Order: sequence, then C-alpha cells, then structure tokens
Amino acid sequence: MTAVAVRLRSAPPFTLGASLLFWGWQTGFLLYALPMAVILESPRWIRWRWSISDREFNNVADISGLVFFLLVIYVFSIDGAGGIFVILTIMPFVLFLLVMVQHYSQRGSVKLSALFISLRRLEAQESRGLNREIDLSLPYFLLCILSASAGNQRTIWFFILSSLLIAAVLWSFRPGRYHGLLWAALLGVSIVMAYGGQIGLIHLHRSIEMSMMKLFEKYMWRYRDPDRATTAIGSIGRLKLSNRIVLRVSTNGKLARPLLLREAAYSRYGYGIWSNAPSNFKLIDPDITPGSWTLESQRGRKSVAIATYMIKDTGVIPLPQGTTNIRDSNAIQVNRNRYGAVRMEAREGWVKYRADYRPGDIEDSPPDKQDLQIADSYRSDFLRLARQWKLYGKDPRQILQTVERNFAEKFRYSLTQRDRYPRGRYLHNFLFMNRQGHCEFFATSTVLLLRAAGIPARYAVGYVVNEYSRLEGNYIVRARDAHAWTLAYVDGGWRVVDTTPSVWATADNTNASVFEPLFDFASWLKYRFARWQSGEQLEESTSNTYLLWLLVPLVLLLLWRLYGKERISTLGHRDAGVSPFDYPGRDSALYRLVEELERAGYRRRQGETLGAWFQRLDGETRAAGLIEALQLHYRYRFDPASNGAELRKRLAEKVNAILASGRIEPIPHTNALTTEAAERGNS
Amino acid sequence: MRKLLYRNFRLVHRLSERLRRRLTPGGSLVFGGIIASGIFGIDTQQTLAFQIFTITASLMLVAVLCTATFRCRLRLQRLLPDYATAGQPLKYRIRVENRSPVLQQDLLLMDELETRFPEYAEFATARDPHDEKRNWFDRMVGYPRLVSQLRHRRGGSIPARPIPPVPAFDRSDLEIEFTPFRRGYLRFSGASIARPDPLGLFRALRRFQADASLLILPHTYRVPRLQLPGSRKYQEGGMTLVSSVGDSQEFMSLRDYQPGDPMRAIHWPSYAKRGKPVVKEFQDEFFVRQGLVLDTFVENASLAQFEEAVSVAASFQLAVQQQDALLDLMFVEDRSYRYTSGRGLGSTANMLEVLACVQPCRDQPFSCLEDLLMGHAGEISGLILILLDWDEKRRDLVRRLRAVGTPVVTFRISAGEDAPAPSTVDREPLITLPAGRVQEYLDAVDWDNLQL
Repeated sequence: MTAVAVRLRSAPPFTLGASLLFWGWQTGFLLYALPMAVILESPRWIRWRWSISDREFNNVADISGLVFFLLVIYVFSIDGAGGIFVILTIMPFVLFLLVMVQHYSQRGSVKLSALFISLRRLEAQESRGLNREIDLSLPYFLLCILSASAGNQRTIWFFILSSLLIAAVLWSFRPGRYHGLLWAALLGVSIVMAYGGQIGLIHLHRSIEMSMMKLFEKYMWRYRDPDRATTAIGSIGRLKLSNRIVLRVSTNGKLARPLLLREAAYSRYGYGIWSNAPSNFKLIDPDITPGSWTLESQRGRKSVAIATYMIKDTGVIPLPQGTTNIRDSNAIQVNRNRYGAVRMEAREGWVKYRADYRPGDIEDSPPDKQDLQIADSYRSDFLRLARQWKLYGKDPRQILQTVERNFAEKFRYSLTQRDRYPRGRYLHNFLFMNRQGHCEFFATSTVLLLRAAGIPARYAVGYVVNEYSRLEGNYIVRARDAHAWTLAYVDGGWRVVDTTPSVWATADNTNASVFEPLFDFASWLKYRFARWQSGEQLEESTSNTYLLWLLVPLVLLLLWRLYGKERISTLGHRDAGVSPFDYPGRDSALYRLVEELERAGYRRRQGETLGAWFQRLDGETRAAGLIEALQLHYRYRFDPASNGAELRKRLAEKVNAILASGRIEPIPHTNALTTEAAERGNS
Repeated sequence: MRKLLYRNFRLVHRLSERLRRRLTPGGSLVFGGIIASGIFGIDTQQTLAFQIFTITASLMLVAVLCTATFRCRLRLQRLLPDYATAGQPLKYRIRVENRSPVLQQDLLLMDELETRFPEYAEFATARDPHDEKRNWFDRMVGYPRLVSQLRHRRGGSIPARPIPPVPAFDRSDLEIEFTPFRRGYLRFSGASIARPDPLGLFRALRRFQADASLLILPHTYRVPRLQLPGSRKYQEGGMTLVSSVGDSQEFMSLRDYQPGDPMRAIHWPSYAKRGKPVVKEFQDEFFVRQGLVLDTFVENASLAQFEEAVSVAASFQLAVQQQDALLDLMFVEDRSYRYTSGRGLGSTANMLEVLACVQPCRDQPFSCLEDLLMGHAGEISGLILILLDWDEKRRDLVRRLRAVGTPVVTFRISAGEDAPAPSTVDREPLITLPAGRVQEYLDAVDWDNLQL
C-alpha cells in the first residue's frame, strides 16, 4: 500500500470556528456563520465519521466548483467587475460543503485529485507519487479571514482580531528550538510593522490614484477638439489606421452613396494644423419631447441612428451634414458652435441618438474674412495653381467643377509619405511635385485653392459611412474611415466638395487584418452586452434571443452535473443570499453637501476624486470651509481610531454652516435646465 | 514563442523549487495569504484585505530577516548501498555529526539529486507518455512536460526528513527512503540542512557538497527458467577464463611440439620416449550458448515500451540457467555490443549494470542488429529476442535466424491494449506483452507448451 502524504496540517482547535464567526460578524452573515462554526468544530466531540469514497469526494468538489462557476456568472452579470468583492464575501458558503465533508469523513483530508480534474486522469494511470492529500481546514481559515475583509468594516477590531487569529494558527507552527518569548516578541514586532504598513498603504493608494487621474486627464482622454485638428501632413511613412469600430449607423435603407458624418469644421490653417478661434458653444434648448433637440427650424427629410462610444461625459459627436434635429437620445445637454460642431453631454460609454437631416442644406454660420485667408507661406503656391488651372474669371460653380476635375485627373491617392521637407513645403510638394497624398492633403489644398480663387471655404473632418455589416444589420464605421473634406460657400450656402479620389476607401481597406471578422464579432458582442447591461431595449424584437442561446450550454451542463450527482444533491446547500454591503461613514453629512453642489450645477468630472473636486470648487465658489468639511469627512470615513460620533456631529455642523451661508450659487445655464425640467414635470 | 515560454518555465521552476525549499508549511500558508490579500487588497477602499496583506507580509519579512545568518558546525556523511532497483523502495542512511557544544534540534535534512535542465531542443522534441492524459492547454504550453522531463532526469524525489535531536559532539543516523522511478545512475549533488526561523515560516539553509552516484538496476519481472532447445555449438578459438571449459580437457591425440605451445601441454612420457617434445592435443570446445537480444530501435515505439523491453531482458538475464551455459546479451547502441555471462564469466550483476545503462539507438540502422546476430548465429544454441515492433524487417530477421537452424523465442512489447490473447503463439513463437501489463501477460503464458 502506498503511503499517503498529507500536505498542510489541520487548523488548531477552534481557530476555524473563530474565523467563521469573525467572517460572519464582519459581513453580516453571523446568523449563518454560527451554525457553520458549530458544524466544523463538532467533530472534536462527535465520534462517528462518514465513509466517503474518492468518487464521492470528487462529486462534492465538482458541485462546489459548479456552484462557484454559476455564482461568478450571476454576480458578474449583476455587478460587473465589482462583483469580485461580492464573490469574495460569500466564498465561505461556496466551499463549506467540501470542508464539512472532509471534517466528517473517515479520511479527514481531501485528495488533491478531487480538486484538480487533470490530476484525476493522471492518477488513474499512475498510482505512485500522486497519492497526495490536502487538509483544507487551513486554506479555509485563510479564506474566511479574506472574506471577512470584504465586509469593509473600517474599525480597529478587524486588524486586532485578524492578527489574533493568524497568531493563534502560527503558534501551532512554532519551532521547539526557540523560547516562546522570542516568538511573541517577533510576532509583536511584525504586528506593529503591519499596523504602520496598512496606514502607509492607504496613503500610498490615495496618492497613486490622484496622480493616475491627473495622468489620465493629461494623456489618455483624447477626443475631437472642435477648435484644433492636427493633420498627418508632414508625417513620414505609411499612415497606420486602426480597424476598430467607432460608430454604428442605422439607416432607413441601403445608402445610395457614402454618407459623410461631420464632427467639426475649421477655418485657419498653418503647418499641418487646422484650428479655429476659441469658439463659444451655444446651448441648444431641448424640445418638449424628451431627448430631442432642434438645431434648425426646417424638418429633416432623412434620418439616421448613430451609436458612438464616449470616453468622457462630454464630446463632439458625428452628425450628417445638414442635421436639423437630434432625437431619441439620453443626452443631458447639447451645444453647437458656429462652425457646426455639436457637443453632447451624456453618460460615458455607448450613446445612441437619431439625427434628422436635409442633404445639401448645411446651415453653418455664414463665412467671414477668416474663411478667405491663406497663410503667407502658402499663398504664392495656391495663387500660382489658381492661375495654372485658370480659375480666375469663372463663376463659382465652374470653379468647383474645374477644381474637382483637376484633382481627379492629375492627383493620386496615397497613404505613404516618403520624403522629408522643410515645414510648410509638404503642400507645395503635393501640388507640384509628386501629386499624391491622403485625404487631408486633398481637403486642405482644396480649401486653400478655393480661397485663392475667391470662394470662402472651410475644412471639415468626420467619417464616411460606406461599410454595411451583415452581421450587425447596420452600417459600421471604423477608425480608418475617418475622412476630411471641404465646405465651399457657393450661391449663398455651404456645399460639400470632396476632391479625394474615390479609391481612398479601397486603399485604406488594405490595412484590414485577416482577423478583422473575428475582431468585428467580438466588438459586436461587446457592444450588445454593453447595451444590454445598461438596460437598453434592443430595437429588434427577436435579436435578444441570442443571449438566451448563450445560456443553453450552461443549463445543459448544470442538468448533466445534477443528473450525475443525485445522491450529493440531496445533501442540500444553503442559499447564500447577498450582503447589503454597507460601509462605515455612509451617513456622512458631506453627501448632502455633494448633492447640493451637483444640484447647483457644479459637476464632478469623470474620475475626479472628491479631494480634487473640492480643491477646484474652492476657487470657483465663494463657499468657505469646503476643504475642512472634506477633511472631517475623510477622518470620519476612514480613520478607525477617530471618535466617530463626535466627528459626525462636527461634520454635520460644518456642512450646515456652508449650506446656510448661501454662497453656493447655481450656475446659470444649469438653472435654466432645471427650470425646464420642472416645467416639463408640471406639464 | 515556445522558446520564450521555455525560458519562463525554467525561471518559474527554479522559483517554485526555491520557495518549496525555503517555506515551511506555515510559511506556505502565510505566503498564500500575501498573494491573495495582495490581489484583493489592491484597492484600499473596497476591502480591508490590505490589512491582511500588511500582517502577512510583515510576518514574512521578520521571518526572512531572522534567517539571514545560519552557522552550524555539522558534518554529513551519506551511506549508500551498491545498487538499487527501479520501482523498489531504496533505503540509505545519512550520518549527522554535531561538532558544536549545543544540542541541535528542529533541523530538517534535504538531500538533493542533481537536476539538469533539458536544453531547448530536448524540451521541444521530447515525447512524454503522460501527454495523452493531459488537457490540451497543458499539452500545448508544455510546462507539465518540462516538469515530467526534470523528474525523469532526476530519477527520484527525496523527501525532506527531520533530523532527530543531535547532542553536542555526538552523531545521529537518519534513514531516508524513497523510490527511484527509473534505471541508470542517480547522481546525488549535495544535501542541505534547514533551520526554521523563530516564527516557523521561513527556513535558513546550509548546503553541504556531497557528490555521489548510485546505479539503479532495471525493474524485473517474474519469469520461469526458460529452457531453450538447441545443441552445443563449437566455439571457435575456445573460451578463455571460463571456469569449467566445455570439452576442452578431453584428450584427442599427440603431435609434435610447435613453437608457442604451452609447457603444460607437453606429454612428458612421449618426450622421454622420442627425445623430442611432443604435445597433447585436446578436443575443440563445445558449449551451450544462448543469446538474449534487446531491440533498441525505438522507431514507432514509445520510451515506455523500451523501458519495458529492458525490464523483460533483465528478467530473462536473471532467469536463464547459467551454471553450464553461456548467455550472450546483445544489443546495438552507438555500435553493436555483445556481453557474455555464465560459467564464471561476467556475473549477473555485471549484466544488470549493462542493462541499467542501455539507451535507445537512434543513429544506427536496424541492419546492425541483423549483422550482429547473423554473424554469431553459428555459435548460438538458441535466442530470446525482445522486440519493440513486429514489422517486416523484424519478421525477416526471425525467419533468417530460423533458416540457419537457431531456435528463437520472440517477445514483442506492444504499446497498449491492442495485444492479442496472452498465450497466443504463432507458428514462430511470438509472445506479445503490452506495456504496463507485462507481468500479467507473462504469468498467462503456457511456458511448458511453448513450441520452440
């Protein structure tokens, strides 16, 4: 008979029960923890044991694994990534059955192969060396303490009791060659170090979080700037364009020709950068119909539904040229600048809106002298080209035709720029030397050439919609579909002039990866999941059934496992239930102040910590004492050593004083909104 | 990519070995606590796991600091047996001598077998018999295969043993037992003595260099004494050093002395009678000489089959009557080998040593074995062939041997369950033994009615 090696010894008497009670107390499951502790400690007095075979151990382990698996799916679907802490909280329930069976079995330990299915197959083949067993009581003890930490009861008792429990277990591992006093002294040193360390960790975490937020704000949150667009004119090498899907566009039917969605337009150009004078966005009043904003008085003839991902809660959105109104949106507010860029404020993530538009009717602000200006360094080139192409003396329509024809006949589309030139010579090179470039070259040159010929023109950027996805049943727009074109002011209105050769879409497609369909499918699933998670009703009545199909294999698996485990299933498993997840300091008076500030229109930015927000508000409002109130709140919320009741009282007084001072003045436009909302509520 | 994985595996393996040696069971628990609480405690606002992290990490830090120095005046001596057998428990002793004036207790002895990492090429091309049982991920990534290779190279796993308390200036013997799981040499590289820190979490190590090697003989099976048919054969040139020589002492005739004849061959009465030296002439040497042939050509066969073949060869080496017959062990490795035992030549132990070290042949053609056997067929009374396959060239070899009148018993080590019934004997005696169930099939053979 092969000798059995048991890894890890069993937990010292009563430590397992104590850890369960500790967990129950910290997480609010004390009522459950008490009988569980009694059950696990009772074998010290109860003499009978179950004779449990390897196969039955395997079955119990499988059931625990299956419960864990289903729990993970369930909790993650409800709570998202934060669900990991809920799972941590209830893990002692999940593994209790296995540990209980081990405690009441004659063997008193569990074979490693019961926990790892791969070992079972190896064991079946080779008996020597694999016959190892493990006593689960100490890992379960550790799990209970970890799960207790998820209760997040920020009192000193957590630290004290967890230290005591760990010390009680370590006492059993104490080597006999040292005196007990030395052990106690070293343990004391460790505990003191740990106490200092945990305070240091809190501060470290806070400071890292602050600096990360700053870094994110600085570098990561890039979005379309309505006042400035940096082109790739002057970049050397081949442009690398991403295949990521950035927009999803639903139309009433197939598009006869590619649809341009504009994000912004610019009027000033110099050295590869298009810009505008800092423009004031004007707030668009919302319509009576919720989620609707009228941009133009005329009614749109066509309509598209657009879904885009917003990485911040405010951003410029792509719209068809000549958009008259936006509807079916959950935006908070909509602004527009004089160059037609529309900025939407909404919750970050996927946003959907429907735009009605009149093709050809672009109601941007009328041109001014800025729309005719050419920077000195380019003027001679474009005047020369205008002369060469005999644009002078023609009427504007003829000029446009000539320009479009010449660009189409004499220029080629290319994503590659091989040679390096002095700054500002790239356009010269494009116009007179190699005559090839990408859409930014064409659009920039067209704008400046039209201006040279006396026609006001602007540079517009956005996307081209031309790829229909059969998988999704709508149009998709990738990052590589970003495009630039020209707006020319002809006959009292703005007209789109796109001189980029029509081959550009094909040329850009050469960037497509062979795995693109796979990525597209993953992107689509992610998108559907995000929308499903946000509780949004999908418009196709049958389309959400596919999610149910995903459940089919899981249900089959569950049935199969249960069918094979008839006997074990009768053992029963206590329903875990979910903790109310309370945390200390929840009743802090500061939250009233935060509500008041938000009501007055002082919005907290995405990712902005309370500290950073209050620092900012300290300058923006006349309210005094915000920082002091925040410090009191932090002490009340996080300092386990503080006198909670007294702090709470002081904080409440401070907040009352700030609110009573009346120095938190509402921001005007927000006020208008709330009034509007109130009126809507009344009506 | 695989190379990168391989390098990482080496790193991971070394790290895990180091942790295994350094951490006590309590230390493993605390280390697990550090990892788990580190993961869950990364956000100090969400849980209090960071407090568990600081407690466990501080305990470990203090424990590590306490093991910074470890001076011990101890001496180790390993007392190994001459041989051991693969698959059989091996017991040996280590003598621990305390040269200090204090009692040494709570020490742990970790004897080590040399661990030589396989090179990347070996790792990439090696086949592992356990691979089929593993899941696809393990098969694809290959870490369990590397662990299995290392285990095989090491040849055994020596458990750490607590050293009984050793009084001052005294010594104590410690018996260690483990089971070597492969034949060949086990190389002991050194031994370490571990002392736990006062908290009982981390071990201080002191290593003693003590290189030694131990030959592990192949595992053997129970086989009956096999009487091969066949007559005595003339051994050209006679046999030197054989204890009782065939018929060589049988007097045949007298002849005139020729230079070089030994003095003891002179027939003195005839010398005296004739006045010139006359020597005795003896009959030529005739012996029963049997051959044991091991097929080392692992072409389609697995290493497990080869190991079984070696074990079966070792079993017959032990079983064949050797008092009045010679037994030739023949195989091809980097070249052809023939070792003769019996009648005082080469002991069985020598032959088992040879078998303990035999390796599969990868760079010689099968015809080498054919040449070896056909070259000696005339002097061999009967052959036991242990083959790894039963393909055309092997059948042909058996046919040719029988054609020259050499009786042959053929054993074929098959891969698995597809073996025919145990006692199935073809017209040419062929016994198929599936790897893993050799003893069961050997027991089922009807040896008495085996038609040779």
